[in-house]
Amino acid sequence: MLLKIEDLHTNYGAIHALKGVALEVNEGEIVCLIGSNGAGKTTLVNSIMGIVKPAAGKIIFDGRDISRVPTYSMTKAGIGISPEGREVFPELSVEENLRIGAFVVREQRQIKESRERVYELFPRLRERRQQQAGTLSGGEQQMLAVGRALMSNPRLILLDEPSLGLAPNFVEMIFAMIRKINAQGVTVLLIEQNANMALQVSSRAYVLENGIVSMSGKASEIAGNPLVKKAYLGMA
Amino acid sequence: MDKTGKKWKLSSFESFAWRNAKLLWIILTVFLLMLPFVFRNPYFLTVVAKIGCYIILGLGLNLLTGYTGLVSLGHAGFVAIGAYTASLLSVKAGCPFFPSMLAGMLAAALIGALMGLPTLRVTGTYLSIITLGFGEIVKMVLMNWQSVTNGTLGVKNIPKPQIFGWKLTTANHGMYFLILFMIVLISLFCRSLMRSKTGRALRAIREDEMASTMMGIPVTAYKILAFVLSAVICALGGALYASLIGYIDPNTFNFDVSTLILSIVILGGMGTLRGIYVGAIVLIAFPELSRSLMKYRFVLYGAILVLMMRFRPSGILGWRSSLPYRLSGNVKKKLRKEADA
Repeated sequence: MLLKIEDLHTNYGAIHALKGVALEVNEGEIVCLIGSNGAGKTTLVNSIMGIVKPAAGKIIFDGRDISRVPTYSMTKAGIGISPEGREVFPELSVEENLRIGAFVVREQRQIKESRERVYELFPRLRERRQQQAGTLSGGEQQMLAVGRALMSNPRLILLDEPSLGLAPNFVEMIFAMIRKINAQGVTVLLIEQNANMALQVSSRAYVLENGIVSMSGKASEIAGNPLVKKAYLGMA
Repeated sequence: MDKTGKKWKLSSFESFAWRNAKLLWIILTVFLLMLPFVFRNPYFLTVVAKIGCYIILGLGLNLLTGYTGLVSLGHAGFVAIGAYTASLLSVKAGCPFFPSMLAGMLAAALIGALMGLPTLRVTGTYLSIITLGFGEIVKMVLMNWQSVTNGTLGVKNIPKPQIFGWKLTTANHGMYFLILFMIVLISLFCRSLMRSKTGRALRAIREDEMASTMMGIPVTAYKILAFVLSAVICALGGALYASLIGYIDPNTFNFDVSTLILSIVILGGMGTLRGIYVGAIVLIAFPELSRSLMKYRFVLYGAILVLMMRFRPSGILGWRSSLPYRLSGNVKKKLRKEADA
């Protein structure tokens, strides 16, 4: 098991945002976490990344409890992230953004290899590599955010709302890329509001509601569940 | 220059500069080397040397404010530490200029690291207020620690630097060339720093601190590093300035100096080198040029700053982003192939 979260409680001031979340991600999987606005999805990501300190519970990555590890050590531990809202560095070029993604990597050769891999996944980024990231389209910025997360050669990649605000063709492309990245051996934890697409690419799924996991199981089963269909997939 | 022929733009000037970079570099070098021999007016040369000192101070603050995005309102404090340490060592202990200057830089580095510590807890405006307090504290210490600093009487007869027994003065242009050399050295340092991994990390912190942390950058350590480097460069500038003027007192390094350095950085163009040169030239030369306007000159000075922020918020030379992108070799090749097909 690569990531195991046990009974995780996280508070935002007086708000009890996560109330005992348990979640597991096995090596090589694509697992998705779906849920509506305010369900606690981003809080969970922030807890994993150490941006907010959990009040109780364990986050075990690769056999080690990382719930008290500072945020900047996460990339070194092997977790890459494409944060919600992309957050690329707008005034840095595409190339520089990728190099920042490889900040913890020492060997130049490995940085070059990772960069080639990213440019092969997203040829558009290669074309625009000298362009300032802030001038890219939303979809291109998302590619960059994913590519940047891959630059540290992570074992687990967290993708927080990669489809947010993207045109439909970009959404399809991003999800195709997620499959491709996974096929290259990277484990993916996908946090999405777009439940439809997320369930299609994932092997397993968790549904987060008001800070607790209300449902979990095989993605196909979750997608077939009448409650999920009604609440998240827009089918009556 | 402009194809539409409507409006002359600064960006067209920059494209021109890019195309003729080599030629312009040669002209500039010759101009700077000839300057003290062509214009022999000592008053003019003193102003030029002062501009040079402020370029160094601007470059120092630019590392912190322009590249790392931390606004300091108390950088005169670092200038004072550099100037006082160097001057006191030369005057009281008879230490030569260059070791004294290095001592001043070291002192500023230590205090810069201490100043960087608040960045653990506070950011933005709050940090600026802390630096403001720092500048005032330094001034107060210099005023009241009389046994060491001579208090408000200041330090007099600060010796000029010597290289192999040759005294560098304003009259023999030694000071001019020393300051010019330091500017070139610091500019090269800043340039290579910004192209390095460290520089990228600093710029990433300016853009998005949270994302930088998530990419594995130990943000606090880098902010402290930015404070230290910035303090060291400003201390160097301070030591040169003290030696140039020959007399310093606590009021030489008051809040006005801090704001002047910050104005140079902002007016010239934050996060660029050429912006700092232009900012220093404009802001130091303007009060001198407008002496005939007497008491109205600072009204005009203020008005220029306000207008600048209204019409060129990114600074006089901070317009790089409005230029068309320069394509990489690969892309050019590709485009050519497509055009052929």
